Amino acid sequence: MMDKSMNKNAFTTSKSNPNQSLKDSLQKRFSSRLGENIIGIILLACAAVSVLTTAGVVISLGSETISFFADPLVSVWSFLTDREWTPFFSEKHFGITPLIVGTLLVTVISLVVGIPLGLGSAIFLSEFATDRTRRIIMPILEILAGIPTVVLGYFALFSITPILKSFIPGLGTQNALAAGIVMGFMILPTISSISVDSMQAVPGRLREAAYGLGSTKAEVITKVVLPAALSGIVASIILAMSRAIGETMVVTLAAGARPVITFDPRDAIATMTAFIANAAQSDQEAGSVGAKALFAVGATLFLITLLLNIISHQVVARFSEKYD
Amino acid sequence: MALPTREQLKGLQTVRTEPVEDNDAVVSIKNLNLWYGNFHALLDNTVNFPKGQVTALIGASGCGKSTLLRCINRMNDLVPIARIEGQALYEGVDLYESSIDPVEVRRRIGMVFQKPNPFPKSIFDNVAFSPRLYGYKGDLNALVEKSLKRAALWDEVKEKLKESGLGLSGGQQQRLCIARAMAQEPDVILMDEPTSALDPIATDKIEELIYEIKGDYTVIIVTHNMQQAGRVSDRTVYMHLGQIIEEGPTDQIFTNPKHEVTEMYISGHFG
Amino acid sequence: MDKAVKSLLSAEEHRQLKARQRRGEILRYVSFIPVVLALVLILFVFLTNINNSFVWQLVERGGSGETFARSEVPNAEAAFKLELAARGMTPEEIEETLTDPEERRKFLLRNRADYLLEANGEPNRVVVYTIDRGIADDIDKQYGYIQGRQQKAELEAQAQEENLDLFLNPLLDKEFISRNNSAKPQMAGFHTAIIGTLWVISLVIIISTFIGVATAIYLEEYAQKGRFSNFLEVNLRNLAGVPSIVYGILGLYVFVRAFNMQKSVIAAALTLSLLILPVVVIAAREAIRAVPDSLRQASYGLGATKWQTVSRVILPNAVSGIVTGIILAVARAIGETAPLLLVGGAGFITTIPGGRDFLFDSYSAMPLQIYSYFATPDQAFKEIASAGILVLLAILIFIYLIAFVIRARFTRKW
Repeated sequence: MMDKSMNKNAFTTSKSNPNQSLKDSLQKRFSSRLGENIIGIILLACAAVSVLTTAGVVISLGSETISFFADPLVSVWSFLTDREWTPFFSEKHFGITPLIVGTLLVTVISLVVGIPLGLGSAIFLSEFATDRTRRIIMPILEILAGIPTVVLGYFALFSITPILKSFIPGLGTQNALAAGIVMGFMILPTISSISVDSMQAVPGRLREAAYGLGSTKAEVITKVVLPAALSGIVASIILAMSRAIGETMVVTLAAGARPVITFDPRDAIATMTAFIANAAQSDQEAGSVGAKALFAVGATLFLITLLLNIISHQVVARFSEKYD
Repeated sequence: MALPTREQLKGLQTVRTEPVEDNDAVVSIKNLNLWYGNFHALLDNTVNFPKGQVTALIGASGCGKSTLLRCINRMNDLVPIARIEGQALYEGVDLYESSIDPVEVRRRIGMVFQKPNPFPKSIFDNVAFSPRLYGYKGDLNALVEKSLKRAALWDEVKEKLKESGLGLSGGQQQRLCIARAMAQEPDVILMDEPTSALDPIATDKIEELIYEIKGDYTVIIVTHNMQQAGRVSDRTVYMHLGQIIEEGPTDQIFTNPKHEVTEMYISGHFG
Repeated sequence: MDKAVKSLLSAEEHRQLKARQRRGEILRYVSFIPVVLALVLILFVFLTNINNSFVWQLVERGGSGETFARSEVPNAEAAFKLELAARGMTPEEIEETLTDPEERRKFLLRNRADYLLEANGEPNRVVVYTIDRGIADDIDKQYGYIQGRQQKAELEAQAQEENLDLFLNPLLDKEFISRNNSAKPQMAGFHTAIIGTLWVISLVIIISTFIGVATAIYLEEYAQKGRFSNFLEVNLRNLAGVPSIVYGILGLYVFVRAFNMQKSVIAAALTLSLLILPVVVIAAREAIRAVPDSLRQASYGLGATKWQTVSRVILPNAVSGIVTGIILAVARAIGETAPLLLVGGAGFITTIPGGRDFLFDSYSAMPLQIYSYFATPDQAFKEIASAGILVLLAILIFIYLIAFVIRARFTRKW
């Protein structure tokens, strides 16, 4: 190909033929192309790390969970229906129900506390706060979200529980209530920031329409803005719920390690995460069924939170289409 | 009379007054078609741009004049959904041949954009940006000075070369962008509505500048300001709905348009 | 205005309107309550920990039993000399103990000069705590400042009766930060944890910045919009929602066991890097997206290649956003405890990682150390945990301030 055009060049005038030296200088250069390609490949390899991470999570949880269920002591049926969870006792039971109930109890308490707090602060930030107030309050919420959970766990155990004890009789030293309350504050920023975004996304024309019809500010907020932002708010609550379910340190420190089926918030309970945290520190042999139980609980936790995250993003995706 | 639709323009023969010979052209567009996805944005465009002259591309917004301009330095390659057929020749070399590197093309053909877009760097660094990309071996200071002088900005900025380019006025920023393009030492400069974001006084300075550099550079300028086209250009290409309706010397197009759509546009019936 | 309204509306309607507007005002104040509560909680967290770290201690002295006026002891060295003299050592023996390297090491391991705000009613004293066998001090009771203050009379009475010392001891001092951890509350220090965190987090910054920013560049500038980039995005979004303890399980399975890194600095660093990767990527993408397209166009128009455009135009203009994002993500990693329980063990570690193989050394980290104080049976560690929490919070606040300053100062309006 190259030879041919060179030959042609020799016999014809330069006018009717491309300017060869210019053409050469415009050619793709191997060295520069190589450099660009190598950079592209490095970047792609880095992007692939996140895929490998997911694969790693699935493989590590999956393989150990499968071998957990392969153990003669365990069956999927007993995992789901047995009402006791005693993997480290001599008489072993592997029913995950107590851990699920414990997780649910703390999560529900945290939502009862966190939803009004999160929504209230979102309404304030989005509808009432001036720019200046917002600039002060937003970083404060960010700091709240940034307090390490081990600190909050200590706080729940050594500060909140003693206060609650003074007016709630029968409150255990470790209990679901204090952990749930503190977790409610922990999820406040999650609910608040996403709800603020979705309330700000409500078009001005809707508000104007409501004002134009003689609504007061409160009516505009409760009858127009909140309903219009509902899907974003719902998504934020689901996401916050997923965070609460996955939270470890607060429950490990403040709620206890007692896997029982109870709905009494004054009791000590064990969540899935608290079991994993405690099992990680116990001297279980790596291949033992007790050690594998950690992975099975981890897999359950992973599936539940993944499901919640997917639902939350679906809700968000639907709401972002609405006003475009 | 109603404006012709795309359907009616099908198979249109471009009206050419005193057409430019291939030999005199530095850039030639030959049967160029461009699609954005399914949208056929440029239909079979053919036009020659003469060396050392200023050619204006005019037409109503959305007619494809900017798209045509961006074909000349392969900026459309950056739009993933754009697909191009036909030829764009630069000094006889087809820029769309598969072996041609678009980066090399853009090095040789300078471009100035609609809104002044200096980098948030110093004035010096802005002008030195592209020489540094190539690893310029000569005296960088001299090159920057020469480029700024050619862009008629030197006297205004020589004391503050280290200050940010964003600190300049809009008109100065645009001249900085022209100086930046000149530092590439191109012989073709593409200008995409370079004064549309500027006030009349700044516009005037840019137009003067274009007039100054004519001869040394081939300038292809997109404008929807017809007075501007009349003031600065030697030749004018009129486009409508992705087609070149008419091209010829500017005074001919403006005083004696041959195609009726051109005439309607020139006389201000739409645009 | 009221007049005009009145003339338009009947008295009844007017009353209704007033009520409706009042509801608006109520909503404003009600919605402000959560903000106040959040602020109160943050303050409460700080104050309880500050309170807990100024402790009233009832100490059964095993050493000389003496405390020294702060004005007499300019430094720990002087306190040691006085204490050893009070224990009946000759000047030669004291010299020997404090200068011979081996003797000195042993001595420092078992003795600690501690500043006291108050000792048996006298202000500004220095005590030398000792845990040497035979003459060891023992903390009998320890209360946070307010609790101790309330029971001061009782404590004084008990001190009198049982011949104990009552000290007001600020736990968070230079000694606390510079001493390695110990099983005895008198000797406990946070140095091991601080250095451990420093090692782990330095690696996390390097790893997560490199991979995170590269991923963001890939997604924003290189990837063709299509199935693969969609998949990457969904994947990253879901990873961001994975509980941190699951990352711990991943680290345990992959790094600790499969790669046989054991519970080491590098295993923890890799685990935490993966944990914050989605956050870093999301922040970096936002920063890159905020760079106006006109700059990209200018760069390409000047004949820059893709990488030249990225490295010379896009990254320099996105750097403040990227750095802020990384700082905030790293702050999260610093406070993260749960995954370290799996890849670090709540190990009781009294040495810092060091030497050529420091990457594979075992380590402690600040949040881990705080958690492990909880697991220690000695109740005195409860207050020591508060001192540790204050160190951790101070570091995090400092980091947040840096991030806020960068964000405020370098946010460019285009």
